[in-house]
Amino acid sequence: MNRPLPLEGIRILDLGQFWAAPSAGRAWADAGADVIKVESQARPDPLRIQARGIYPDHQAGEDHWNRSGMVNERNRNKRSLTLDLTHPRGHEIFMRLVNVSDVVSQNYSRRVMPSLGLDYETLAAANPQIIMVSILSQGLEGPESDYVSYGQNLEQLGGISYFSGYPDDWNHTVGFALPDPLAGVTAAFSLLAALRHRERTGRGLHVDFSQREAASLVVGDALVEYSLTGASPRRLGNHEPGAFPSGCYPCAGEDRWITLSVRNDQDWGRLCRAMLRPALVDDPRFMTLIARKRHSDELDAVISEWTAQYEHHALLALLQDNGISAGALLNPRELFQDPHLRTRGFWERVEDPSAGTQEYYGRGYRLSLAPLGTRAPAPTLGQHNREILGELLGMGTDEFEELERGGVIGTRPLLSESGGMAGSRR
Amino acid sequence: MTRPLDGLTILETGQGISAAYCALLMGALGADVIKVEPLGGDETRRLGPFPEDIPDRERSALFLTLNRNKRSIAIDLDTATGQELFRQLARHAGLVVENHAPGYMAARHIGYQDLAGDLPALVWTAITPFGQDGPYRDYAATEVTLFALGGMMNLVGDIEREPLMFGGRPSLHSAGVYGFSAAMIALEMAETCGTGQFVDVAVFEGLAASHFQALVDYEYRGLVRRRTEVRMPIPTLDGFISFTVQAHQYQDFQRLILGERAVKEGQVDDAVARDRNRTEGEMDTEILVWSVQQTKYDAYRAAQSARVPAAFIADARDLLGSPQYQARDYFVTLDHPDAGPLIYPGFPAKFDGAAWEWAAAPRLSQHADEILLGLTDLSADEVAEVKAAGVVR
Repeated sequence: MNRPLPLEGIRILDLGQFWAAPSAGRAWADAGADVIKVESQARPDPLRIQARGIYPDHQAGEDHWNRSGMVNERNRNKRSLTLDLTHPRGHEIFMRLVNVSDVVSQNYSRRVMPSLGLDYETLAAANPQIIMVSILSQGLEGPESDYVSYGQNLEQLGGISYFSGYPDDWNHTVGFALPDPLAGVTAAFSLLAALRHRERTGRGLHVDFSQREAASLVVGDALVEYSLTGASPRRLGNHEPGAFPSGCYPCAGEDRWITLSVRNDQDWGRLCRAMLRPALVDDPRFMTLIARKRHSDELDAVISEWTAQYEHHALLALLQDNGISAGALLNPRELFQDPHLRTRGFWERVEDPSAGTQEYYGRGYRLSLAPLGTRAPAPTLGQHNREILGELLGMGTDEFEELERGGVIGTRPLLSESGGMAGSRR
Repeated sequence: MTRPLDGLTILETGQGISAAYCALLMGALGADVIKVEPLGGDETRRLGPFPEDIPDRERSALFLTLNRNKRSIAIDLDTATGQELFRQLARHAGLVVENHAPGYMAARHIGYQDLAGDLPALVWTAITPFGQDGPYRDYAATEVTLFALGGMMNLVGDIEREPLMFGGRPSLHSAGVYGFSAAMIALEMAETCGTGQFVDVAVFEGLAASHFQALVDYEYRGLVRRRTEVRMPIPTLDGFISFTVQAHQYQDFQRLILGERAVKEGQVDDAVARDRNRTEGEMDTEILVWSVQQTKYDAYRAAQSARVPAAFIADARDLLGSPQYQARDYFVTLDHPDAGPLIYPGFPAKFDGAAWEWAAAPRLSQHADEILLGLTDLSADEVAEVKAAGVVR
């Protein structure tokens, strides 16, 4: 079957770095777009250098910037071009690429693109069809739009952190940058809406995306609740509204857990039977949702005592066989081994040019007519310089060599003496 | 402005958050969303939160938030007539978004396979906890159980205590985002080659594909990460702030906390040699002296003005009063006949700076008449009949 992939024919210049924007780029690349990851030797994707030690078998290796796990995981199906955008030749080449592309995607802080002479107006003057996607911390305008933030900051600023944590311990907060993947995917598909818009209007546009706002949308009902009731909603921990009991309970073994949620009285009856405690159904302390809520400490003690006797996978099967919503806490190893993910072919095995054979996660959706799997590994830095400039701009060997000599393109990052990145612009 | 999804009709059916959130995002972009509810209404109408905790299906904050820009019709899909009405509505739809259990629609003869023969361009997005096949397919699931299975919960919380889920039901919301994603890809394909298709969205897989480093860390070097990060945010006069200082920002950070005098006296260090964890331990006292004299918002602004990445833990009131959100017109006030004027979050992106149009969520089956008369073969008399028969509310 030779059906084209959904986004075949769409070319995207992906200046994204870190997590959110490269993830958006990967989603486009999976769907068949020609996604060119644009970096420079002085400014490679920072995760190439700040790899957090995530190299194959702990070995950084000579070309460690091509062996960073986080980069290789989220830049599959892309091509790599290095281009020094601060160099006049680099700028000129980028603008020529804009003329033959559909989209420029970027997540620098707000002032970087204008300072490079690459603001939307300049790009649109050269190519009125161009769509620019700016995935910013707080959007293009407003008093806080120049503030620098990472994912965890945005979790706090967007309101997710306030509602996350132990209800009995306000002195601590938890988080791991959830807004990044959420923003990345939402942004990715705002682009598709923009493409439709372009088909209709005949001209491109600038998508101004705020990651903080994307985080707030997740707690939208809490914001509306405040507006509705005048009271700030409470932190709920692991408790699910309207479900008693619900939460996280210990299992046999070290740091093993099961989560469950009893949504109604039928569920409660099923749980009592699963626990082989049918008499509990008639216990007035637990007979109704309101009663269970009132006696939740006693209830949690009963359940914990029972769950602690079981291995977590076995308990997952037992609870689900009884029709109760339950989930074992899975760690990374267990996710890789998980029978459901294995059966569905979630994991994608890739032969990386520098990192060897590895398995990476797939995606949260599959299309019946379009195979969206990994067709190519993440590129090494500058791997496609010649291919891209030759194919798209008709450049020849003399020009490549001149550009390489001038440091406009290249395949090695420029590192400072301490091994950090030479440039520190964000 | 014309909106990107103007002209697209979406038929939404199911319960709860994921399908509703997916259709909310698409409705914001201009799609005409018809929400097919069960006769008793969507479960989020019963879930609340409600004012004064008094259940009222027209005043659930969760329902009102998720169902803006939609029209509602309540149909009993267990009846042959109800199924026929759904079939007729689908003729007008470019997209069906549903989150029923696998097989639910097919058992009622209104599954994708039943409709695709007559509607070859129809895109059908099914959002389920585990997808349409595989050993967990029929497992029951809720937010907390998905957050645990997806491996997220393993990373959140204090290692001395039980692991934690996040507030805001991120699993079910992210499922809506993935549904939106995949639907947009399939619609793009339908537009270019005229062929619709079935899209299988699995919440579990969406979560497993949203890890920052834990999975690749295991794959590359066998490290099984666990929850370690509970942060102690920094107290201020009225709440908490936090910093995420990278090595190259360390001098700015010291200057912020210790002041210019410390810079002159040489107390400010070479940034490159520093790591972040040491930083915070060493300056705890000075940071507190600096922070407790000001409000969280002032501290956040002072730090950011000094180029130090900082955040404050924003609660609902902070967000509704945020100058940044005001400047971007993020919130919209919508009047609802039962719930009154309320403030809602908007769409997180602007297209060429344009604001999006919003309408308040519908009352249960508010648009039954206009939908049936406009989009099905029923006459006015027949509409009255199906309502009298209890097929449509």
